[in-house]
Amino acid sequence: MTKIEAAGVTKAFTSRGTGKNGSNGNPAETQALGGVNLTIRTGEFHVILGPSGCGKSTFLDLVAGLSRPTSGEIRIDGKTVTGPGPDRAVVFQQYALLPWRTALGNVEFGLEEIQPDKSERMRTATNFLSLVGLNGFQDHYPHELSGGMKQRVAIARALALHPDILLMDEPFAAVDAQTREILQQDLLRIALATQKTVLFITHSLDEAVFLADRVSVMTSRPGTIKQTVEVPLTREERLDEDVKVSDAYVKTRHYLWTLLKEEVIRSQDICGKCSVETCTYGHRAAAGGAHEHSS
Amino acid sequence: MSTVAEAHEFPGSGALGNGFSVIGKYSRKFIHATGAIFVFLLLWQLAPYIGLINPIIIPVPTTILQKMIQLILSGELLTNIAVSVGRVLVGFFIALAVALPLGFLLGGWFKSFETAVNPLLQVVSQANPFTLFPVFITLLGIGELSKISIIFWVCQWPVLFNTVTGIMNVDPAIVKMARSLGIGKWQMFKKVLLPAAMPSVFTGIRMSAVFAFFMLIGAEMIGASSGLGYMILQAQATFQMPKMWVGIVTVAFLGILFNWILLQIEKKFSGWKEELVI
Repeated sequence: MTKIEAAGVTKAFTSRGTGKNGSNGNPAETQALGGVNLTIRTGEFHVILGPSGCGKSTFLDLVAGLSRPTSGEIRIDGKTVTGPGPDRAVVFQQYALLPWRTALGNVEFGLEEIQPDKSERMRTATNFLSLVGLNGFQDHYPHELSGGMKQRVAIARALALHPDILLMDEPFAAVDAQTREILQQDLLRIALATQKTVLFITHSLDEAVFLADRVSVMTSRPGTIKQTVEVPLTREERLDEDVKVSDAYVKTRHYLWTLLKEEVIRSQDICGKCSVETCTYGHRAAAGGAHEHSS
Repeated sequence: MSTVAEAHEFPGSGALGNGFSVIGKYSRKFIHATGAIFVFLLLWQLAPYIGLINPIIIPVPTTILQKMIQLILSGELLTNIAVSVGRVLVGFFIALAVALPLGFLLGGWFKSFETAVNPLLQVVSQANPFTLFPVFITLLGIGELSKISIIFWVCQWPVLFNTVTGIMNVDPAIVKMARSLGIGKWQMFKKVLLPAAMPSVFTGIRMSAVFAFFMLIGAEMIGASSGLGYMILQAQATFQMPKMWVGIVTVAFLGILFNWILLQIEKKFSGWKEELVI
């Protein structure tokens, strides 16, 4: 069953001021997304993997309803997205916690519109804080929490809204490597338990393979979906300690890397054969990154 | 309680027993915080004896204290305090009532307008308020109105600029998060922009409180028949040095008190801020 559907979605930004690419002072237009077609199933954990600056986050903003596509449309349950809605909740990379509210207050923030009863709201918020493993941290302010804990609060805030869809914009990119592993496992467990449809943005291969039912690899800017890859692992298998050395994991990871590598090279304007910006043979990288390596 | 106190004690002082060590801790804290003031007052008191200062021009602290008590008992000091504080409060609160909403509007909703008028506001605010006295007196006369107006004038700028800065520097990630929840414009203001801007707004409020006292005394020295500034100038003109010094000390204390009250209010509103450790 289709939950989220993107049909020919493009997004262009006009940057103000004089662009540095010789734009004669005219507003420079940046094409962030160049026609994204994507179908996400109900209950699926879908990861979008792409090089940095490829428009992944732009796409997530469009699904969240935070901005409107230049052309094309996004449909959720068959209805076109026109703005934010209670069926979706977003977890941001920068946590986006209110520093003047406690952990509990932050979880309550999202609930204030939909749960007017104060004690009921507090109960819901407490429950979700303990779901993400933050028992006993209700009264802590964000600056008293570690990065991983902050993101747990943000996840609790999102889950407390009972959304059908969880949108996650590189949520673990700012936390340290060990914490990230634990958070990934916990997220997988929570997603399994709550049966959410998850759209997860990342540039990390391992994160993609570990979390996703399907991974969509995005091209460099203007972003389109290059290919969608099924990860042949069940959620139970993922929570097993040895999954990262399993055949399915390693092979999928490698395959995704071959897809991603070209895009990373193209987006960074470097030579694919010698991996430097100006290759040792003296060839300047041509526009688009692919240059002749004849001599 | 006692265990906490003990943990902070120096080794050896525990022998005094818990009750004493708690008292000892607080008295040490008190001495630490006020020691410099006492040393300063002592030196001031002794200075005339070693010929450092002329007690006729700068009376010793005990003389000033004596005069202060006398002026309190006669009611003169309290009347002047009431008049001066009244002027400060009226000017200060009018400034808040004007500059806070204006700052929020400029910083939040009319950003391009703010960009357009900001240079003008900066120039106008830089005009030295003392030089504007003649203008205010010409326009508004020599009564209360011109004094309150000039206090209002100096108070509004820090509040206005800091409010604009506060609103403009709200973390965009928080605003985006709030938008993703689909909250309305008023809720966004009340629950996100206002509390986020609070620390900056309070910086402005406290700055303007300092300016208010500066200007008050200036205004009262130029044209007034009551108030602390008037009292100081009168005392100087009639060579009542102790009385003049009572005025100076009182103004200083009022400034400290005002700032302290504002700090307490600020703590209530932005007590969530992380304490800075350098």
